[in-house]
Amino acid sequence: MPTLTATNQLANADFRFWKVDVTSTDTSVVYTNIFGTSGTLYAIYVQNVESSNEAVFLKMYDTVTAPTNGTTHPDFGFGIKSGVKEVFLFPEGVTFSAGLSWAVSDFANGKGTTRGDSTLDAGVSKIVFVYK
Amino acid sequence: MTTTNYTIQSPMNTLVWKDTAVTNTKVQPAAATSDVTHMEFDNTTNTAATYYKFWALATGSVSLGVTEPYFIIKIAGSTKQYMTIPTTLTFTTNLTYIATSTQANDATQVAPTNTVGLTLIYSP
Repeated sequence: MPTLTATNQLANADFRFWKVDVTSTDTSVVYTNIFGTSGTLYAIYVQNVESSNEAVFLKMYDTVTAPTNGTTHPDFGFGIKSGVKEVFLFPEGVTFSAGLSWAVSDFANGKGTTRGDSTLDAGVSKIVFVYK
Repeated sequence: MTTTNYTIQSPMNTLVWKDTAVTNTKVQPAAATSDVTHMEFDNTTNTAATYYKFWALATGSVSLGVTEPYFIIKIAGSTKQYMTIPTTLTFTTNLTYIATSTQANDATQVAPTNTVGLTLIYSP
């Protein structure tokens, strides 16, 4: 009878997740180089269900330099409507060759930039990134 | 643009929109609320990155350099990328898109050197 070997597949896959809870008192949300190095992003979960919430704009930058929320043009910008939970899956992964920095703000539709607003009035209770 | 739009045989009335020649000209595949569940981006025709930009508005309501996109995604040069959205991404009222090599929302959105591809799976 062959010998069966149990393998910790999660350990081999080496997926990691990065989560932040954003409260209504967090008026400016910017995080820099959350991987600590280059990395590949596989999934994003955004929960925008805070009370008195509004549409928000999740912005991601391929940089290890701190972006200025509302000023630095993002590489990726995702509008998230109020009262929704959104999941974005990238089965082949999105490479951040420098590193992943991100910010979130009010959507500010029609403001004239791809940068969104600089502050967060309310909304967004949870954001999770899955990467390796 | 070179587009086709056809219905998948499912109870969901799901549509597939395929554009094999996306450039910096605004295209509006849907004139109604659209729930997008899948996007495929083909930038294998360019060595430089291409930015796909989407608005939840009709083309006539989108002023490049003024109207902020609802969704932006950067696709590295010479690559394809696809994204699945199990929760659906709702474009209220309309859906309009362009492809450009310009990262910022300047009034001039430079066309990619070569046209790029886009496929959307959505439900009206």
